[in-house]
Amino acid sequence: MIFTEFSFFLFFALAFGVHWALRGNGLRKSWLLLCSYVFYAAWRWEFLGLILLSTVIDYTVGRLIARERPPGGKRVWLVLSLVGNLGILGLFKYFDFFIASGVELLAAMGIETSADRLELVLPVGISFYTFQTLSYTIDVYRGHLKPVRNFRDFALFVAFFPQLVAGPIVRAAHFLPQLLKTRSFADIAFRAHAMLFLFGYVKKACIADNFASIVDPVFVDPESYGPAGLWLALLLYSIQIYCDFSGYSDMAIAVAGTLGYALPLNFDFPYLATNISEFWKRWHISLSTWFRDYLYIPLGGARGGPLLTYRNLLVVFLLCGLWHGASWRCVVWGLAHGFFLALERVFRWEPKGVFGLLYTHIVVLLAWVFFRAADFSVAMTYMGGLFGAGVSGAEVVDAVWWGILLGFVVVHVVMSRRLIERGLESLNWYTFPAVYGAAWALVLPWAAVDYQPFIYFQF
Amino acid sequence: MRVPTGTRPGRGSLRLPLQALIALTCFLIVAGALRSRLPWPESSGFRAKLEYFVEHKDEFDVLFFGSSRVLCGVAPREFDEELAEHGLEVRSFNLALGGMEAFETDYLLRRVLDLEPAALRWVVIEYTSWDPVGGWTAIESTNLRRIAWHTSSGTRDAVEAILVARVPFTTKLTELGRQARFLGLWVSNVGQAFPALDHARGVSRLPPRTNPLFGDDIPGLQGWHPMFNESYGRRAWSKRVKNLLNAGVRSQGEKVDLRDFPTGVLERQVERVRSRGMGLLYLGLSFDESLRAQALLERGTLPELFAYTSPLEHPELYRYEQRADVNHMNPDGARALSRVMAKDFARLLEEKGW
Repeated sequence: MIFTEFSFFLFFALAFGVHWALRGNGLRKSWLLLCSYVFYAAWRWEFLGLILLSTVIDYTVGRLIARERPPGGKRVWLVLSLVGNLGILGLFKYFDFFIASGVELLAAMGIETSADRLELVLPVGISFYTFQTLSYTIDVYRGHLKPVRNFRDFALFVAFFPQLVAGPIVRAAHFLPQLLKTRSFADIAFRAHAMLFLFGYVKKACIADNFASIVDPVFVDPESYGPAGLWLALLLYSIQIYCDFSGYSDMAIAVAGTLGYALPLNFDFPYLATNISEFWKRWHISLSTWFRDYLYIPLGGARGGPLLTYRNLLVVFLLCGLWHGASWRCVVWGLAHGFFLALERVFRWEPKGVFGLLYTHIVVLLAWVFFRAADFSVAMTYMGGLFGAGVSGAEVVDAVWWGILLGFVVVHVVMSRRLIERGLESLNWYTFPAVYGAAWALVLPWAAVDYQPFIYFQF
Repeated sequence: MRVPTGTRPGRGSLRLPLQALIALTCFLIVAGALRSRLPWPESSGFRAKLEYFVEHKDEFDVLFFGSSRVLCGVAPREFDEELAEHGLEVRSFNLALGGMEAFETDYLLRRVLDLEPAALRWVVIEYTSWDPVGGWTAIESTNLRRIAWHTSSGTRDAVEAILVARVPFTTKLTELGRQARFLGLWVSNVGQAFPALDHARGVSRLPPRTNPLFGDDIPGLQGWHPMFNESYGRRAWSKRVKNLLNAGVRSQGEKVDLRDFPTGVLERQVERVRSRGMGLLYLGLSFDESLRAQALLERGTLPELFAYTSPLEHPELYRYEQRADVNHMNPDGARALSRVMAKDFARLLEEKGW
């Protein structure tokens, strides 16, 4: 079940209606937990066990850490949590990748060997909820957070359906206190969330899904396109992935918001960034801050001198790349970002203005080639093709898409200035629903009939 | 977009339902207005054919509806010529389309009747399955054609058929859910913008077909569905005919249970045509459906039925040389079938009057 699916609308109407009809915070939380498990089970019920396992491990570890007095004992429990969570993640997501890489490495050294792959199905959202539960355990270990007493509350924090499968990655310190407060419907910024859901839907169903139909064939066979077509497809892909993921985040924030829960901002117009450092303050914010707080700073951050800072940055972005996908392409994508981030640090360089925009876009765009291509060979062909090498130009991308691209840029800038939101917010209580209803009627025809899964589900 | 904070306009226990009602009403009005402008979903050149019909709607006396069996099996020119030999001046048009089963046919019939074709006097519909759980209608894929017939009345008919169908309760629930989804897609016009835009621009995203699914009813657009199957040999066909004969013998006197049939849906279709003073004739071209069609005729639900499902009764329609494949005629077969049908039709008109 995904947010753009018809079934989700029915599911959410029921979840929303019952949630607000119930009296008492405890009942509402139990209902939301049930809804969250149903939401996840609609994909594959077998993997509910993994979420439950992760929940039980971290709930128990959190309680045990709080009970331990000497730091050594706490550390043991923390390590247990790390091993448990990262072990599950590693098994499902990275086992085959490392086995295959190991075999290839040995083959390169002249040692022929073989190993069976597990070929396990990657549980949807495993990277997201694993990082979420880890943040809880680490915060409890650091003494920044008191362990949760109520198991249901903790289970809801892990499985809360709006953010369960593709984030934003919610910190325990941000979410758990919200569970203690009984809300009234009057406290909800319903109109703003309704708008946010619509904007998210447009991004995902009307932009990302339709752009995919243009982008996908180009990445399958880049040799057949000329440089102009390849650049256009790459630009469209950069919009596709942004709209896909930020659209999901918008919808997740909106859905959670209408239920009375605030989720953190995940995207802040990243394509308006003028340097890579700023890009990562605007792109997938919940992940970049997670890496900052739980990896970069513990590694020493910028405290150990320039060389250590660069090393830390590269380590963080290597792992960031791996988080996005168990492949060397994703590692290259992550390292490319890490490299330019380090470069900006080395030269204390903070590009601004149009030049900064251009620089950031070129770096981000070229890195997307590795992110999107099916394998290295396709990525290299694509990269060469962008500069006119080894491509035929037999196929062309309809030039109308340049116009659509330009339209997107204009809308992006308008949205960043909140002009549409302000306009809608200023409507009175009966005009707003009229405009809102009409807007949905105008938007839905642009959505694809067959739903495309969210790109970030695979992470 | 920023994360919304703060509180909302509009409290009060009645305001939210009222706002929801306003939003829904405006949604339905705008969606309805858009829907009225949508073109017929493109499928194998059918849209062009339908547009041709709309332009010439007042020229035809007889219309054929049905699946590819009718599309490939009815040659209007041949049908008209045979009738002319019986002294009847008729102009017919073949509005069949591959994969068009009962629900979609019914939807097309409604649209055509809404056009109020001035000369139309007889509607000929292939009797196909009214089974929303099996057959073509149950194919998982979502396509615009399938969405198109899920109007409120189309969905109501499908729901009626599901409710009486003899399938497990869970299957019924699943099917009802699917119908609700299709109705939702129809109401909201999901996926319609790009095809409509392409239509307005005069472009097609579908690969061009050199031999589109046209009968010989549009001058200059003759051609036949390329279904010739060379691997299906003469011997296999003979065996098939023998099996049909045996099955026909076995089924003689067999009682057909109509309790799982959505009789009401069919009766409404019959009434829709009759209320406009038109004649209605059903065609039986599929052996699988022939027993049920016969039972419905005997029960009086079907007003008229021409069945061509028995090699015993119509050996001239079961020659190997006339078949494109198991289910479809080739042009020779279509000529033969159209002539036979026209003769029967002439006899019917003698009885009923033109």
